[in-house]
Amino acid sequence: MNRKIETKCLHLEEEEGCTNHYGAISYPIYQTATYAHPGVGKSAGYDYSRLQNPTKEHLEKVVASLENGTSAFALSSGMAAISLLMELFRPGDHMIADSDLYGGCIRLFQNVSEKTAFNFPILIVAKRI
Amino acid sequence: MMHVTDIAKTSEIAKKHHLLLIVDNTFMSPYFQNPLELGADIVVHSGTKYLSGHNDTLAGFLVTNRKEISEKLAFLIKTTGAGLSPFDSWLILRGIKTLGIRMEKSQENAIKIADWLKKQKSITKVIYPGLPEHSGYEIMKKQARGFGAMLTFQLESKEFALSILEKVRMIKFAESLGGVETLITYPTTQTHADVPQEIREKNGITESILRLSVGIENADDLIDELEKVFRETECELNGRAKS
Repeated sequence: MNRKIETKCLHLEEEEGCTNHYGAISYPIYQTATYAHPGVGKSAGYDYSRLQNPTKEHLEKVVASLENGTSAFALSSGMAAISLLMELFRPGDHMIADSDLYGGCIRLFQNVSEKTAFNFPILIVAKRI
Repeated sequence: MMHVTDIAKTSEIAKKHHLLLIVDNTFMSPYFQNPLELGADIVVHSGTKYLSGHNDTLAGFLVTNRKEISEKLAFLIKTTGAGLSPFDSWLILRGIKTLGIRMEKSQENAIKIADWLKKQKSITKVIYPGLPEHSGYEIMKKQARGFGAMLTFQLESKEFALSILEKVRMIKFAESLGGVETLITYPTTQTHADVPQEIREKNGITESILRLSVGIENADDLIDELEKVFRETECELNGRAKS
């Protein structure tokens, strides 16, 4: 049976039964920028925290499980997430956006994303109340 | 403001035309709604809001179940470098543990406050998707497991709205939403200042509109403060009209 969301907020099923982190109930904070390699061409699992960090990776797995997604990415703010998303697109791509978005998105689209030559119509997709 | 979009229907259109559908699920949180299951390709979150829940950490998320998008995003995040720090990741993990009870309590409070607001003669409109008269109510019932705790309301005048912002004390006049503390915002100059005025007004964001992010305080205490602020404002504005 699939677990309910309240439970998924607390427990990451795929990691249950593992004895890492001395059994810590609260996931440890790996406050490290880099990771020592056991030898040339060998890795302990992580190389550099910009690429991945265990605490961030654990959070990403939890958020992916809450949204029933296969992967999640944790960024330094909501706008950092949307800015990264804009990097998926190429000059000439088109986008249709709801006019009722957060103002910061509109600012990003109209002042920053437009340099990649978006043709950027903002359409109202919901009825007026 | 507070438009509700039918995600499944939008997804049908997107699929027919081979488009990507991106949904911002911040207001609902995964506790109340899962857009990927309704056909979205990518879900966006401001993790600063309900996922964090404590008005203490900034974060953002992108979630997908499409392998090719995931591979591109993995490449982009490691290359551009805006990944969340370890400590902030831990704060969000800690916040998520109580997401369920926070969402339930905030929503329960929001419904009580929406009912109270509707009875105020100085209010011309209460916009909350949990009210049956909201145009998105039926869509919400179909696609979500709740209505959230974001309320928008319109006062009889700009002066009335500004006076509320000046007078609130326990309820904080601050940007952001989704935390345990109740916040009140002035969308015209805060969250939506960068939206062209014409579009803002089309969306119903006027100078007499306020937005409330309802927290998990005792609902009676929140209503007591609103009651006090509303009565004081009515006295002041009526007094001025007479003199």
